[in-house]
Amino acid sequence: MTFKFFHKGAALVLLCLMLFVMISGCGSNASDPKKVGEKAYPSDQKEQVLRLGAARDFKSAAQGRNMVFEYLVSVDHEGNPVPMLAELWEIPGDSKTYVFKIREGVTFHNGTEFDASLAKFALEYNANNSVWGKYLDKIETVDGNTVKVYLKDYYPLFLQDLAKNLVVSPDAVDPKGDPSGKLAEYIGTGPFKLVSYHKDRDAELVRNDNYWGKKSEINRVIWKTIPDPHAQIVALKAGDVDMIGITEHHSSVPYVEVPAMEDAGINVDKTSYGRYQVLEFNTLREPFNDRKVRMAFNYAIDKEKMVRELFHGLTEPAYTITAPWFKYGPSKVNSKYFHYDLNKAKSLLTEAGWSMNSSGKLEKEGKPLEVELLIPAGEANADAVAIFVQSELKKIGVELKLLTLESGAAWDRSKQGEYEMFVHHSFCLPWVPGGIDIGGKYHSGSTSWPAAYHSPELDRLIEEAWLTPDESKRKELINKVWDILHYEAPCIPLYDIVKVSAYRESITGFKPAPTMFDMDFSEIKIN
Amino acid sequence: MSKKIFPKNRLLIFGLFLLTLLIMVSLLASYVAPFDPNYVEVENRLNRPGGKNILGTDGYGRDIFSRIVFGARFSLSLAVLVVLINLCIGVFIGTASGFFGGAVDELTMRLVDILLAFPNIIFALLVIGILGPSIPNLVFALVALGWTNYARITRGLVLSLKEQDFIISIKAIGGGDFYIITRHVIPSIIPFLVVLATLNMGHMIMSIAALSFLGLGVQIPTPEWGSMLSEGKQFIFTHPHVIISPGLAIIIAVFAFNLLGDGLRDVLDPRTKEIIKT
Amino acid sequence: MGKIIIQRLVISILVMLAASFLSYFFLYMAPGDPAVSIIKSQTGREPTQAEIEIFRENRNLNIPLLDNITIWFGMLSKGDLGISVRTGEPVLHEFKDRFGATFLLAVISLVLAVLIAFPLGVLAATRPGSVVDHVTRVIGLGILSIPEFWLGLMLMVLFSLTLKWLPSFGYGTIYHFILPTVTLSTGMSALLMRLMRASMLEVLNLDYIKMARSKGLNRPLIIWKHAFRNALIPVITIIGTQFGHLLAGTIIIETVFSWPGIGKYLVDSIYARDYPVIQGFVFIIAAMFVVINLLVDLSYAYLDPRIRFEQGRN
Repeated sequence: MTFKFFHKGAALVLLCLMLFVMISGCGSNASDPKKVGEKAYPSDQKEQVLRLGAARDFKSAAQGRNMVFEYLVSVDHEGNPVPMLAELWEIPGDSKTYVFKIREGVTFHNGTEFDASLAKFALEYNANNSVWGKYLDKIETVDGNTVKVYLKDYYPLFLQDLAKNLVVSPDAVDPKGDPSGKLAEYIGTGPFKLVSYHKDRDAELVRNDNYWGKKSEINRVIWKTIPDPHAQIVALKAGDVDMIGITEHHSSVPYVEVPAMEDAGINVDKTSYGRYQVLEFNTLREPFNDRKVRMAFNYAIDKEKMVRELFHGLTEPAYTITAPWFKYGPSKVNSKYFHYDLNKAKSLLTEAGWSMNSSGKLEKEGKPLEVELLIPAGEANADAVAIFVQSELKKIGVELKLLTLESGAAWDRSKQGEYEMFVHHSFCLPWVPGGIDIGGKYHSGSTSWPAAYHSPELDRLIEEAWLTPDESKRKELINKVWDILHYEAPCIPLYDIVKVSAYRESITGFKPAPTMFDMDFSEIKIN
Repeated sequence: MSKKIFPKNRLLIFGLFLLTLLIMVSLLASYVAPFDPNYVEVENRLNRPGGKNILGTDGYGRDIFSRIVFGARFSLSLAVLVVLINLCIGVFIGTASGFFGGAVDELTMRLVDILLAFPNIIFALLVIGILGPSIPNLVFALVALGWTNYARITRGLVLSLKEQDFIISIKAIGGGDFYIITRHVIPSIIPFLVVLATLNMGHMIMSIAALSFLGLGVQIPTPEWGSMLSEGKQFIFTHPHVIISPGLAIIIAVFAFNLLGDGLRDVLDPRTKEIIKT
Repeated sequence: MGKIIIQRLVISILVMLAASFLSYFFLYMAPGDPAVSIIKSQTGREPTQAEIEIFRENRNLNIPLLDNITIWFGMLSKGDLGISVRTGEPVLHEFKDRFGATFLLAVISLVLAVLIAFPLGVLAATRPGSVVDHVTRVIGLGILSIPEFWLGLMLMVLFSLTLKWLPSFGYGTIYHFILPTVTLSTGMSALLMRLMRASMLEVLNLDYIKMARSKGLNRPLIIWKHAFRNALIPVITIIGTQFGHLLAGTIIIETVFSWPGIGKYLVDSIYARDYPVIQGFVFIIAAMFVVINLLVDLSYAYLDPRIRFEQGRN
């Protein structure tokens, strides 16, 4: 018996061994978890180490890339193009030619000096992945620090597009020097250099001492990937990380945790990037083909209460389709237009032919007012908003049904116009906010939102605005666009999705970056 | 002897009691629950247990106790539905396979082997992740692999029954296959299936809760235990009561089925133990 | 014997191919565009139509289904699983980078569970009907009724938030392993304990054990040297065949504890519709299950002549 057992046992041990070999062969890269966090308390007290708790892997986050790479042209908080690696630019004559003067004294992390020919390479590399690439005629270097870009047609968003285009070194691309290659190494010109990276775990960056701009006080930045927002908060409270939320596009920090964090002495920064969460209407169908119903729904939702109770007053209710302070934002419209007013809502619905039946529900010709709200899975705060709106609409006799779909499927529905209401958000910089560009949400050429509000007049104004290179004329036209849109109430603006960053007391000099995709560490200090 | 059996029976009776309670609660949900489970009152959100709301309120000011009560109805009926579908498919395939044997048997059993090896939660994730969260998709995801265990066990039972004298003699006097299967084979395996289904109920309640927890279960605002946990997860560190009580509800329900199944298995023929291992 | 091996091998290969084909087909037919979900996850907003077209062009997403399948099989024959649409990295690398974390979690939990479950199972089996037997049984059933993810959350609240003893997330030091492995091994140990008890009871009723007893051999020797060793074999076989389920069990725990393993990555890839990753991961996971099952079956069939003739069925 024992002998038999020995055989079986041996076979099993062998099996286990084989498994181990198989697996350790697989996991060899992962078996060396480098504990970058351990070095966080250096013997040299002068070294400043900033540890970030991030929801995403370093290389899959735009905020990570933007520590290492820069743009030729960036945008400010309102969306105006501002110089970065291009010191200045000119648009002579036909508005199709751009002359960029390249900043001097900029070097890549590998020591190569950045000049016009490398700028040309970066532009060629990005042209393959950008919309402006379709308009590109040719790129020329005029001299050591001047690049000229010729577009075939006028393209109004060229400079804004550049603010998403990373300036990469030819050595960063695989195959090296091939503008159609793919980004393989993190060799940029940015304020930090990437020194180590472990997928889904961490990354370590050191200050670029040759940085052309204001050098940060921070010597090293450690990026720790912590996907769960609550785990991030625990880590922040426990002192495992110094800052959270800054690495995300918007509020990854749950609003409900903020008061407790502030009580615990943690600093919380709330910055608006003008991104509003909105409920989109299908304006091609009953009942939302009627402007009065759209207005009534806008009046029926107490956004003040929603923001106060559900979001702990951390953000602001939204009363315009997108932030009015954007360069092309609705600054001239009446911002009180969408304010909460239950009586107005009721009377508008009555005017639209909907009357209250005996069971307290609205109906028209025997048909009850039932609408479906489509929620793309994963949309931030969408569940909370949906449940709140459902309860608000119930008060005026509207039954709102909720349908969560996988976001891809939800997107398909929007493309086919197969929805009644849709939880969405306005675009943010550096794109055109609010969906008023050609092919945008409120232009009939939109393939993504065929059922959003469109009209020939709106189309004409939008097209004219964007094909007018003259800024003041364009703004005038855009104001007209906003006037129409606000009158028509094509959506319910809900609230401003502020970006919440939280950091330990010991940190001073926090400054929000101009866009939600960037981080500004230029004045941060750790005491 | 009586001393040995008694405590086991006591557990069985306790399980039965818990289950009866759960069924009563879910049937009489509208009487048991003090509030509308979907009534939102954001001014009253995250109240601690006690007072007007026995178990407190959730992130939207809904009464947690009422949601748990309605959730019992929902979670139990969904689990019953999935188990019944699995049972029917499994018994049909298992009986056919065991009774007729041959190439069909070989093929189905290999298929069962394969499917048994595949972790059902990964499969369910794949299906619901792709098709989107909804009740039909959830049921489909749990049925697609869930029937295999029933098929395997039914086949084993049928194989051993086939060899038994009474079946052989019925065959000898000219009893048709259909007659034998419906009148003799199936009735004799029912007790085993009951035990298996009871134990499986607990497993299904947990699987449904787990998928809902990952956001792949039912639509909001349906009161379902797993999705209550999923919604409450954001309050885990500030208001843990939001996730404690739905979790306890799951435990009680699963425990009831486990006690019942385990007890029934012992009461039945000792052979059951060999056939139905945990 | 040889026939069985060939038969099983052929079936195994078919299974792996079918599994990855099916998962791909499912995704391909499902609504939603990977370009949209991926650009969205990178930029946090829906892309414009023009951006989608450029992305699709650059990442080879415009290839029709059948062409893609043939390309994939071609690559597979060279041991290449393709490139992740999301990260642009080879799928095999993505898997390798994460498998270690998942494997460690699963194995440590398993070892922990075995250490708890085996002594208790044996103890319960040697004293059937005793207080110990009943208590372990009720506790075991109770533990089996606790959803793992909920247990994980509760442990987190208790040990990280209230007592502040352990880190609640992350990967690296030994402390990070404690909560996830305890969570995983709790349910596992209850299950193994029940299996061990049942298996041990069976062995104890076998003739040779009874004979050894009647011969007056000392009790611990019989239990540990003879009975335990033989009771172990079916239990370990079950652990082997359940290895896949063990890995699957880690998926939810990985999401709860932010564990950088394959489970979490697979879930994220499903949401992002990263076809090559899902196809590749499903293929590798299916391959692992099939290989393990095959090895368990074969070693068992080889060792036990009775099974050899029953063709290794259950």
